[in-house]
Amino acid sequence: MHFEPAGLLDGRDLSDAGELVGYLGDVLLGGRLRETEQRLLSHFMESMNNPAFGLDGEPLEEKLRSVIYLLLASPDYQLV
Amino acid sequence: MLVSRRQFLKGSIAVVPAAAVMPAVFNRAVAASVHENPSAEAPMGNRKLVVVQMAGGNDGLNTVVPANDSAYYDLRKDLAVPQRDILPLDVRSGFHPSLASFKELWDEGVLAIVEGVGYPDQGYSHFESMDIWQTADPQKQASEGWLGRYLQGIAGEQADGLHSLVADGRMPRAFYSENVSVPLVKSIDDYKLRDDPRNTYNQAARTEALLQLYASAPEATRFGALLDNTLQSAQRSSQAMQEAHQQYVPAVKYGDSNLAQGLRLIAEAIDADLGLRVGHLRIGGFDTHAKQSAEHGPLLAGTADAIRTFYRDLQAHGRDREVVIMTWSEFGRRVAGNASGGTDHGSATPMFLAGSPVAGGFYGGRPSLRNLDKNNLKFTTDFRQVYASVLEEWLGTPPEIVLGGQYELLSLLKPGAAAA
Repeated sequence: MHFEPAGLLDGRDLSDAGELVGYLGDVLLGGRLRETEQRLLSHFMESMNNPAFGLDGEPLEEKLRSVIYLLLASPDYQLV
Repeated sequence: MLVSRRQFLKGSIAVVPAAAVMPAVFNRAVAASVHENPSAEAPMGNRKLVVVQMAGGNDGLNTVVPANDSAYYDLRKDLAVPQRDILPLDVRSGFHPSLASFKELWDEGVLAIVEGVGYPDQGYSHFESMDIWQTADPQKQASEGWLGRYLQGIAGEQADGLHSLVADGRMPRAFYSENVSVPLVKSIDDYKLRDDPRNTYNQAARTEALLQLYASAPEATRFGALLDNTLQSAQRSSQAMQEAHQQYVPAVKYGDSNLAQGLRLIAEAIDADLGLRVGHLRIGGFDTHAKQSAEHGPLLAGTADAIRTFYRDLQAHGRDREVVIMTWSEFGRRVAGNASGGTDHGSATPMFLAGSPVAGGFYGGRPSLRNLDKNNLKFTTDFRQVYASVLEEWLGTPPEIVLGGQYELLSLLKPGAAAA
């Protein structure tokens, strides 16, 4: 089975990293993503190799995988 | 530097009801100055305790054999170790022939045997008795382990130190604690932060972001204090252990067993000055319900050989005066054998302490084979006496705070090594 994280964004009107992290936080943490974490993850996403946020291409795929990994490894997901 | 009661209480006050410990605070505060002993063999902060669990219930009677007691041969019958095979310790007793390595340490005066160790109302379930030994609480009320409580007390002493190391695949309950994270290292190759191997894109930045996520977890939550340092300490300790492993050259050849390799890991951490205070290892298989004659010897040899090798390595690296090794087992075996050529769960069993600071010899009292309790040995020494002695005399820590009570000390160390 192949996981295509970009499919999570289908039909979503997300314009920047903050909105994307917020959306993933809603999906994976039931909206419990704290502001500090959202800011941290947004900054991480923006600071990756290709700082330009776009909805197409390989960089987005890798960014999405990384953010999902971080959310699933976060204390909020693991312990709550 | 010695852990003063004030320092210790600061870290451990949450685990023991304050009313239980506060009245003695000032006594210890005065005693603390006495404990600063410049003639001690190893400074307090350099002292390590390495605990080896002989899991399954070691048959103490066939370990330290009462060779000159006819009752032993009458009761043990075919399972008795023949007198001609025994490695003599004193006029009354000797080691199982597989314990040549321990005999070597005994002859050098660096092995202590504490006989008849147990606790009141002995439990015969492995899990129950292990829990009792590891929480140091026969009433089964404590949720945290005795070593976890000790580590909480010294948590502020070296913030960045690798205070503890469990060389095993599972966390012993002795280390349970809400506030202290303990590295669990079964294999040095696996002891690293596991990232997604298929996604190497920006791996370093992702790891850094993960560390920040854990560091930002609110301290007010139940596990906040633990989360505050767990991931960072895991990251730091894994890097430090990897470096120590690559640089270490053992002076002796360690065996291939998990125990031997675990002891090597601990030697590496000691030699690299990572701040280790407590190590823990486990060797299983002592639950010898059947075919004991064939199985017990190799288990004893595996334990003693690994400990001797570790000790020799420490000696060669000039670190032997910093380490006390202590063994424990959740219970002994019944005096009489069973129909399967083995022995069933029993009560009292010996503990061993080894190392240059240890004053070799017998401690505790030898249980009588003529005064049994439902075919079991009556214990003569509470295991918490041994813990208290190690805490007070070796680690310089108030035992009553860790153990929740006071116990008669056994004076297990050489005069120059004892804390007070």
